[in-house]
Amino acid sequence: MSGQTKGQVFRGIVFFIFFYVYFWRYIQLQFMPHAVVSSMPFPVFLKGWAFFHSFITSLGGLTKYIASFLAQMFYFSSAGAAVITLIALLFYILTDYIVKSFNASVLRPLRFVPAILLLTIYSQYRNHIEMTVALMFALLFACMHIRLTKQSRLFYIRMLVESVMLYYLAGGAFLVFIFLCAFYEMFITKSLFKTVICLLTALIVPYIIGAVICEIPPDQAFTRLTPFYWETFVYDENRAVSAAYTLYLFMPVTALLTLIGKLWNNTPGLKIEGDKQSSIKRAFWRKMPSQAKWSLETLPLIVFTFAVIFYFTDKKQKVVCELDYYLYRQMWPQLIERAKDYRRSVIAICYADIAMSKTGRLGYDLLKWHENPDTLKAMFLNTPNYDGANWCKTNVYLNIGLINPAQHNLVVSMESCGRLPFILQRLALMHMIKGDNDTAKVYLNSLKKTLFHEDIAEYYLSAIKKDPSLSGIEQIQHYRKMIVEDEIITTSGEAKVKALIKQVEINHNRTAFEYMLSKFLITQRPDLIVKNISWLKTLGYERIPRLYEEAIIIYEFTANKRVDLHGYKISPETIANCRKFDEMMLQLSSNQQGSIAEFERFFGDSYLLYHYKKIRK
Amino acid sequence: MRICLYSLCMFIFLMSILILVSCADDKEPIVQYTTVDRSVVVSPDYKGVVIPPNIAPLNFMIDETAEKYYVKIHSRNGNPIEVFSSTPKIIIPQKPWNTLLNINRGNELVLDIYAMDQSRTWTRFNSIINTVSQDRIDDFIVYRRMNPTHTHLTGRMAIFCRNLSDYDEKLILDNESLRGGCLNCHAFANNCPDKMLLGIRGYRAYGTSTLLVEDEEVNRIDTKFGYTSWHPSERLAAYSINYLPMMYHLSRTETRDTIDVDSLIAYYQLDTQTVKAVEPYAKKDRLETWPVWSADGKYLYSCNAPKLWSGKKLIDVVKHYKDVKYDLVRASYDIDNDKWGSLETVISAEKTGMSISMPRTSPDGRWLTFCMADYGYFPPWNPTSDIYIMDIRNSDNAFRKLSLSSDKSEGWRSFSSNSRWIAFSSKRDNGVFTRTYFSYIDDNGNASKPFVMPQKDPVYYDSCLDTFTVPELITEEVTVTGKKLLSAVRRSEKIDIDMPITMATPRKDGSITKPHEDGFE
Repeated sequence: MSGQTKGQVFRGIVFFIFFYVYFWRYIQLQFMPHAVVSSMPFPVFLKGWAFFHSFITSLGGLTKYIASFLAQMFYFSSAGAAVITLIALLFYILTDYIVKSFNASVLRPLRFVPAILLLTIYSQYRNHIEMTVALMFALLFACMHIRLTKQSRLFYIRMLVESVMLYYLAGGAFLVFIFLCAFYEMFITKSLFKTVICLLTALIVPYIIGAVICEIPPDQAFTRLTPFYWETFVYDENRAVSAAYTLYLFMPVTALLTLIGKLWNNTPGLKIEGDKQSSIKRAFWRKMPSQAKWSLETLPLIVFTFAVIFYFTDKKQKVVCELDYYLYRQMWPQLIERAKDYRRSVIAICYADIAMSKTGRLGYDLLKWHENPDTLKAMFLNTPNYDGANWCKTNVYLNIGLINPAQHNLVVSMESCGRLPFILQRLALMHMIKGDNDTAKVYLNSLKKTLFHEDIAEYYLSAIKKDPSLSGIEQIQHYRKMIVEDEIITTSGEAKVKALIKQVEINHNRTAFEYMLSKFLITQRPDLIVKNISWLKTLGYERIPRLYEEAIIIYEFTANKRVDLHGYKISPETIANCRKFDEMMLQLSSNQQGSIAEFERFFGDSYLLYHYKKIRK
Repeated sequence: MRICLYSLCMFIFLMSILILVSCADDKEPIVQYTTVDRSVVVSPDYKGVVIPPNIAPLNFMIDETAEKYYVKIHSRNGNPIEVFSSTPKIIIPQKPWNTLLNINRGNELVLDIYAMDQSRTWTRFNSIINTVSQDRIDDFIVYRRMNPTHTHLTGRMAIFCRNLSDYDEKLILDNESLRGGCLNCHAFANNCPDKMLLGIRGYRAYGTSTLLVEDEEVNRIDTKFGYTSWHPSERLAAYSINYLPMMYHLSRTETRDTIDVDSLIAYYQLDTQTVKAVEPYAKKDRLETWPVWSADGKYLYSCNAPKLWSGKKLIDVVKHYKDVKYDLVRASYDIDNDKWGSLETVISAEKTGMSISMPRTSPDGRWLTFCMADYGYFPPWNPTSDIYIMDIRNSDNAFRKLSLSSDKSEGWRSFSSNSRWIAFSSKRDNGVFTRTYFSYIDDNGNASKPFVMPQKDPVYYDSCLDTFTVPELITEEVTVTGKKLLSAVRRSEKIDIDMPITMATPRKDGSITKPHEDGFE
């Protein structure tokens, strides 16, 4: 192996190690299935013949099946990273082979581009694994075709067999294969007739197999499993500029670049000048030390890779997926910590509220997240903007104990995002809570067929069999206490407030109480806080949470009334804070500038400042 | 090298034979066994049912722990079928089953069930006794499969034609070809697929329309038909247009509910390609829905209720959801002169205290079945909905509940062409997932114990997350291809019609003018 080759191999190894580690430790594909928070579908995979059969009978089904299986590895960061790295590596090898076959060795550095494009796609937490696998098959077949063309005849039979097989396997990705074959036949083997055969095959095979035999609409017959398929526009409006298009068009564009390069070399005038310049460059290059050469060759790759990472990483999407990951696993401290990086996101605020309610911090830290009344929408997600945030709403309603609204939103999530394991698990849970074990078993039996959730399904199925009342499962008993016995039709936000009130009055639901009071705090209604103080004892509060204390003080001051605290006392810390606030308010009158900054520093999360801002407005 | 390769091949071959032999079920005849006087639990519940002679094998699971299972299926005529299995799944061979049923019409079908425990002792349980009916069921059934939502239709939905003699399920049309949306209310004239109507609601493409299939020719009618019923003459079809906002319950197994805010019954005449309102029903202060023709085409039955609200806000309408109860009414119709008679009440909601919906008549003109529930008009979402039957020949309009009803929702029904079988939707298994059931209706209008549509895998329904809706029995297979249907949807030619205008009339783009200020989220 020459030094240059060793350098290239070493570069490749280093790149893919970095690639793997980056996916494993930074992108962390275990967050990807949680893109359900943005109503994005994720592939489902079930064990058994019936699931497999449902794929192989459809065009591109086998690729979808394989892609669905590979996507399940994303539930584990290291396994997911390994899958993507392997795919990237395959693209690297196949691209290299094709470029060399096109006698365009100068373009060999482009073999890193597919991997970088995969990096671009997954940095945005968009999953295109089906199209990626389809494209990979297309390149694999192209390489096979090129290799066999060099060695054997029987072109026409081979072309037909390869085309039919690949089209059945990978749908519209077949067109990339045809393009590359046609290009190879036209410009490398220089057979016009074979080129025409390739182009005719591109039209005939999808039409006959797709449109005629499979009865798919002609436009879908040519675009299935490509970014041009109609479905891609449903889930991601940014597809127009997405790396997925680039990935698909990359090899055809590379082929065209080799053509341009050949034409350039064949142009007489240009050639002479080019010759002079290139001979100078060659001389300079020969004299350079090999390490320096290697570094210079590697530098564009490094720069390009990091530029892609910097420019394309969708931090917001990563944060929301990560938050959902933590929420699902009840990792509250991690959730709060991570949500701080994205305080302005409605989803971050919503999830932070849930985490705070679970850790008893809603009455203390609420206003660290809700800076103004507009943020109320983040609490319940009940404005039209969040019509599609069904999975998030499920989490909110489940937290409060509104089981039916949670269930409804979950079923809608399933409609949009697929029958994901955690959706099935949640649906089963909701039906078990309601005592509807028969329906729960259907979801659990379906969950049992997934790759990694069989255990949890078995656990619940055994529990149902042993004790249909599920009295031993604390989580279910906990939620059962929250079920509102009487019936309300929820038709508006107002109805939800009524439902909250019922939760408090009938079920003594502490979470519902805190949500209700949080709503009053955010909408600056200290009078309603005061009105509900009597509930604190019933709900077992040892002391009045700080924010409620501050609201009470505000109320007493503005209404000029003493409030009955039902045996509670305002804490000395709150009283001290109020005095300090008062002092600073007096200073405010003399020094307007910089006062708010001072206030923010001392009272950023207090109700005192929150209320003051309202008055100031 | 060659010898090694050859040896390897032989080894693999012999191992394969060995594995196959060891996996083969032991088919030794059972000589000794212990009899226990109890029935074994099977699922699906295929015990004590009446089955048509042309039904696919009713494969089932035995709910007993054992090492091996043996089932002998026999009747008066023909050779018995023997099934040995090392798992609780009993898969009955199709051809022997079809033959056995066919030569034993009217006879009992007995299933002797045995199970072998670890000590290799066989136990025989009480036999399952079913009855093979004299009357065949229609060979095919068409239904829609979808997620149990009815709300946001971004998921997969498709219409299938299933051969009831085997397990073949053929796709007619799915919404992926339409880029999403809804396919609904497929309706056949006289149980025959030659004339079919099918509603399309494409959200992203192709808009709203109705496909009319006439002998494999497909045309697109540029409006949406709701619940549709063909006149037996096949010259016209009545349908309803409804505005149905969604509502949700806080504490009920079925979370969803709906109320018909405004509606209209119209009919489409094929020869003139025109739509007219059904005059007797067209009243502003009434709600009308679920039209169905009598077998002789002389009457149009439907459900009719007073509009209880006068307020402008939807939230005011919703308050009355439990008070809306539908009567069963009918109006006479002279097809030759296109003349309607006046409205008559057949069954009054006031008298029954319940609400009537989804009437269906039998092709022989004798029976009228309908759903009754405590309120409302949409049985799939009302667990109190049961199926009732009335003998139309009797002038007293007496009716009774069919014994096939359960404590969960029963809904959509379809009679077979010989009026002996009904296919109906039921949520009896679990309250959420609708399955298709069959029941035999005898001369006296009594229904046999229903059984679920058989699947090749007896545990299929245990994990099936699809809901099977709108089951329609037909005598022949649907031959119009999905390609033709799609082609009609996609091409620009369509049958334009002028609609009688109500608030429920859909606009050209498929959206509906909401009659009230929207108080829904």
